[in-house]
Amino acid sequence: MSGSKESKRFAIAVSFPGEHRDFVKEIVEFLAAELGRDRIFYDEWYEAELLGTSGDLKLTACYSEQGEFIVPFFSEFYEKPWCGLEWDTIREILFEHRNDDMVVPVRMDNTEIPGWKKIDFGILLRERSAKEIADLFLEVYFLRHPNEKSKVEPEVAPTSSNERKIAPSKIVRHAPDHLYGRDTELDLLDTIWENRQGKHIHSLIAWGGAGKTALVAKWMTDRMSAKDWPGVERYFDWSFYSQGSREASQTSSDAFFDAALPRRHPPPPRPDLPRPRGVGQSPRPHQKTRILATPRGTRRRRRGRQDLVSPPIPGISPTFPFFLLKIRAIFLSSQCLRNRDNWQLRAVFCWNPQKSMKSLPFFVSAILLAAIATAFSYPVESRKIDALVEANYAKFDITPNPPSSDEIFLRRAYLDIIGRIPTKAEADAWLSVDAPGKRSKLVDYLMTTEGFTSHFYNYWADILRLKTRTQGGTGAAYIQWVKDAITSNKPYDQFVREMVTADGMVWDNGAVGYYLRDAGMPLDNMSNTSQIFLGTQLVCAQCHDHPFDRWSQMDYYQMAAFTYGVETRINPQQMLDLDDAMKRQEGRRTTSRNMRRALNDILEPLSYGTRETERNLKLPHDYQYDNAAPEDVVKPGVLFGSDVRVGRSDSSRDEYAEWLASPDNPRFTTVIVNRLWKKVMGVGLIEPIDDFKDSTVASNPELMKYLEEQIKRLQYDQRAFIRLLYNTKTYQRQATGGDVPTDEPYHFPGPILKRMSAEQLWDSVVTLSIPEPDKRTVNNGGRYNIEKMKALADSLRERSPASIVKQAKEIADVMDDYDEKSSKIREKLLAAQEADDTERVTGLRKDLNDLNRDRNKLIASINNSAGTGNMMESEMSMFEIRAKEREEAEEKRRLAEAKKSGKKIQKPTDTWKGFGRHLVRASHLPSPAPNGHFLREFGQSDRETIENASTDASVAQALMLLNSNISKDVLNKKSPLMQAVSNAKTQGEKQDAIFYSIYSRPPTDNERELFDLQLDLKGDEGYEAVIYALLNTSEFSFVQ
Amino acid sequence: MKDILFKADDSTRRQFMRMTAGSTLGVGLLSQAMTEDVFAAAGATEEGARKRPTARNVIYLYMSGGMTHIDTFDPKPGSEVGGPVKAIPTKADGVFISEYLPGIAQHMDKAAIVRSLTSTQGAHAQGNYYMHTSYSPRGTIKHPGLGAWIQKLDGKTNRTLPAAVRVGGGGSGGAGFMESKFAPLQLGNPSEGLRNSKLLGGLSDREFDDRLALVNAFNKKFRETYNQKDVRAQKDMYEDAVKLMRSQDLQAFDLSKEDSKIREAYGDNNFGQGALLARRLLENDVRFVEVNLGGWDTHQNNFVSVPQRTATLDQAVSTLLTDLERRGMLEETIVVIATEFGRTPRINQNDGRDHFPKAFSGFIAGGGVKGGTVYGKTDERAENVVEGKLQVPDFNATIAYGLGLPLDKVITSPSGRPFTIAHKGRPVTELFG
Repeated sequence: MSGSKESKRFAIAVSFPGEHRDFVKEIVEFLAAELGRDRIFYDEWYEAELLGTSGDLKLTACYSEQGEFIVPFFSEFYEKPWCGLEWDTIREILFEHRNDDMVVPVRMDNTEIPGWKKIDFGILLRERSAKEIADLFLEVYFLRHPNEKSKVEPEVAPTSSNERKIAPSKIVRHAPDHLYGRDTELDLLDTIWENRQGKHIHSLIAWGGAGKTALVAKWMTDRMSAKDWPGVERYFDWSFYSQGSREASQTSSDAFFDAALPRRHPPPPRPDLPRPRGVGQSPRPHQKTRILATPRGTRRRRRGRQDLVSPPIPGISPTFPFFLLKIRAIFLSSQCLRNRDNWQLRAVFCWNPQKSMKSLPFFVSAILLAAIATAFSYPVESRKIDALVEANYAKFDITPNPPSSDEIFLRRAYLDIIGRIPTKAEADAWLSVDAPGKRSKLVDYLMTTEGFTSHFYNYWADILRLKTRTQGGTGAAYIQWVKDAITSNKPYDQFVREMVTADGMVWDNGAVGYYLRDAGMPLDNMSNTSQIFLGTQLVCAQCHDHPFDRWSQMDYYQMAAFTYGVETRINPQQMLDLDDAMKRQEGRRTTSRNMRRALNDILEPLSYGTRETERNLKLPHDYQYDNAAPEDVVKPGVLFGSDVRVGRSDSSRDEYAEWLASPDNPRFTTVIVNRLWKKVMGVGLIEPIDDFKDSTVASNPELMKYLEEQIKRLQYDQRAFIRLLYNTKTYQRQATGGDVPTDEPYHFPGPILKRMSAEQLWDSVVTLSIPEPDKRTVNNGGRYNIEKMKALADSLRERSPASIVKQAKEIADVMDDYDEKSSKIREKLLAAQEADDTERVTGLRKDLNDLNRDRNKLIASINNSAGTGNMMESEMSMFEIRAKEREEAEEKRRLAEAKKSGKKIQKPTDTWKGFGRHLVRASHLPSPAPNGHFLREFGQSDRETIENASTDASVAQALMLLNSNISKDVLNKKSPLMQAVSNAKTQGEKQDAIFYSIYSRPPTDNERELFDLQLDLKGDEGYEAVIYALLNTSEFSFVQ
Repeated sequence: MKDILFKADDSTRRQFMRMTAGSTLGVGLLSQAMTEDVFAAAGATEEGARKRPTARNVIYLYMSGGMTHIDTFDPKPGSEVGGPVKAIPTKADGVFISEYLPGIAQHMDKAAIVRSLTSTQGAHAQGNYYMHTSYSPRGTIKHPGLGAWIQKLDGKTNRTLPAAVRVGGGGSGGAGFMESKFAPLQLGNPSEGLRNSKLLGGLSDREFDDRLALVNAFNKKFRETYNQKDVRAQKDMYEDAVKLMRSQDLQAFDLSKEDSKIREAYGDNNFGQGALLARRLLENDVRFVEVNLGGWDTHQNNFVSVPQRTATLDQAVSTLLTDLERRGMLEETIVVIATEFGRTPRINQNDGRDHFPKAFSGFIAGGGVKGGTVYGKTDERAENVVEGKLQVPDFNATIAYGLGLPLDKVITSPSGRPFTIAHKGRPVTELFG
């Protein structure tokens, strides 16, 4: 499968004297085994073709027109007449198409061949075997035709354009066998090359003869090609001459411009947006640059054979203007490649300042000696990961799955990265772009969207058991903190540290939610910590030594001792030191029940948080082991790794957090790497992911080691880390088709097929049903309440104890009064009930209600005047009023702006007007969703235990999809899906719209037939029937 | 039997098909619980407290919020703590209960009262969890409720319906750490029938069949490409769903099939209709039905609210017991009234009662229970248990005992921890004749 349109009939054509036939035959057999006989020109195999008259012409054609490259075997026998004929042809090629670099001779001995120049390198036989020579040829061949490799090992992107990578042709020839004293410079080149964030163009400046070209050439051959040009999508090199150089032509520089400059087009449209009209068609900038780069003179000069024999005139060369233009062109093209199309151009130029002083203004005078440029399309690290995965293919005899199609990749990337299927518009936009590196670009783009936060939040909500409904709304504060951490891409180690060291009010620091989630259960909290972050299950050791692992009950208690002092119940009265004020107000410390209740209500915003105390953890009363007595106080101690020096800082928790989330912790990094690998690939390198034992080894230890290095290098940036995984070939292969055995290691011939998570499925239904699904939020009071509670807490902390006590007293008085009056009414009520006097019962009930309402009003007004209007009544608080004012002001501003600019703008809510309020992405719904909700039926975690989500099939799910209103939401006339259908003109386009919307691909012929049949039978209702059917298929609810 | 409404387990399905080829029941009707545990049990010796069951089904009536014991089954008339509530004689000699429960009083000859319950949990969620699972809530595991245990230990009998159903309520008492297929089917409004079991409006049976055929046609290629467990499970789940939609059993959920007089007799409210639905489901071989009645958290106006609750309770339970008896179902059905805790004997300023886990009452009728039994006793203030103290796990063990379930059978959670049906509770065997 040749990647090149112009690929010739033969990959390699050999020419040899008969004396070497046996040896050559051996070589061509090896070559044929790799490339196929039909790609090798070896005369015996084409005898039939050559027979007849004018065999010489036929033969000539085989070499000059049909061979990618030609291999003459030079020796003392070669100059025989017959061979001479071949050699004439080959020599012709050498001169005619020198730049194409088609001839690679093998020198069987030291015979000089006329016409062969010393600067052209051939293969010296030395003592090499036929196999070694054949391998060398293959290497040369693949170096020049990297696309050809796909025969052996499929390339990832089938849609990438047909241009081939351009082989190094000239510069490597300057590579000396040995380059002394330049190791530092070689390392430096490595460093600048691998640092993607830095400059893209690098200059080597030195006087002539210092060895610039040699350095670059050596680096390219020894370092870069030895590393198999990691991450390189396209590769160019060229050399210009300077005075005195024998290098004559521009070699492949023009090829570079040919390949690179078409990318000077405006960047392809973002995959989420339909292509704007008229973009991507103007060739002007490109042509301009090309004109700059190729003045007529050069072209003429390059045509003739003259250049080969006549080096250019030293001194001020007439080609100087050409160089300047070329240099400019390179800078221009580097500009246009940078950050576009996900390419990076990296170039090293060698400059010689010598001539500049003599003859030209300083800035433009540098002479380009040699340069190479490379465009990266996907991260070096991803390529390395692939290599490590592939190592296991060989070891375990695994056949990798073929690469996935663009359609499947697109759908998978959307579902895995942002948690929903792509819309039809998104699918159209991306699929229609034809550019190398477009997958990489899609990955990068998706990782910056709101959808990413939404989906990654769902992932962590399941692990951390995030619950919205908790006492006082603390859950919402914790959830908001997690969402913010994901949005800001907080490094994982910091994320963990902030949770386990969290202290204070939950409104000030949402991370406190980590402890509040297990309020009153500090031992369970520690079990969860070790399970989530260290993959270590300690829970058995809570009551006795672990029966299946090495943990003792003592180990457990020592760990728990670190955080046992964290108090999850805060007494605000104590905190605010209200006792004195109480005494003054009440004359005594103990107060009435109503006073206590009033205080509790006022102080509620201050009662949610954690506080570090001196509380000691004691062993249980039934502790049964010899190493301590029951109820002994336990000192903190860690499970493994370096010991924590307690007492070094103020809090043992800080020390413990350092130990826990340290790169040196033997399990911390492995656990997160394995978790994220599983998230991307579907199976962990270690399974189960949260029950590590001492004997646990990854299915691919080298890969695990490399991944750990990477996340450390990335400083625990989860997003950057999974980006590397999404960019691998491994991820981009087809999903494995058959059953994946769960009892043996999986070696990743591709990702595994997964049923969508409940959230993915719901969010996909939402995507089909409403426009801009990622943008829609609902005001379920989340953030809003947190702000309100925080404001209340702040104001309480600022107030004097006396004023708080006074407020409480006022409220308590109201309550006392109520109690007195209401008990009288209740007495009457009971009497009336006794007497079965229903009329009176109704009247008294009403009185009771009125009394109740009056009381609440009074309390609310007391609270409002104290600035803490909130907890008890439903009157609009000042915070709500303020928020409303803000909204209105914003609205006014927008309208005014619109009026000024004369544009009609939509109100923000208009986007979703007429769409059910329930149609909002899962991450904006309460966590967990209520029982019976679509999400719960499809297995959303109940948030009771760690990672409790399930993708098991159930009949309730089928009933939901078959008979619930879900399909009605999708079939709503205004839904994006139905809009796409009604916007499509022809029947075929309508069918496409439906398939692209639901499956992200066009229908197959077979499916189109089925579709046609429905339309024939039912008319337009056929569309509805097909949509309904597709929603109920496995292809919809599985991630391929 | 096949766990319709629950996880469609492929291996079970194949296993069963091999075993029952030619069975008239059709395909895939045996649950994993049945295959594993019944056969395991057949070989097991009769260790532990297992005895011949006196009942096979449970109707579990849960009083959510904490039912006052003093004003229902443990009256202290004429005392300070008793408030205005009087005690009335019942059909069982010498047994008095609250005047709020006149209907139930007429059935005391078939029922036992436990007056010595005590719990360690004083908050609603925790108390509810403890009552439903016999374990206190933990941050690291979720325990299954009775409905799940029954299925796990004893299998189910209906081919298409779930073994456990719950009307109202929620939260604790689900499948816990067990497979989700053991979770009770949750119903909100008992009169609405089974959710999503009816065709979408405007869709005829024929059109529905057409669409199903279309689904299968579109599925063909994908299922060939990905012939794996989860995909096959999805196929089964659709087949089972359609089977259920067409099943006669579905009518069990349809209360409109009942005589309107019967419906009225149970009470025109969710609890009463839930109790009626429970009976219908049991007739269709559902094993465990829980019906919830809320509103018992009477911190205020106890003596206004409680009579409203008890009116609902009394009407539904007395009708249910009559109905079950008339149909000959009472003998094999245990009817339980349970709650998370009792309420303080002291009446607070708001004329209410607060949470009181120290002493409270439960009720068990039918299913081989010795009628007219009163087990345990509180002091005259209903404050302390003075006789036959019964922990929550003991109460649940008693129910399990009546069903003949192995109390000592250990089920291991996926995390490798051992659990038993009533957390080592000891059954009160003398409740059974």
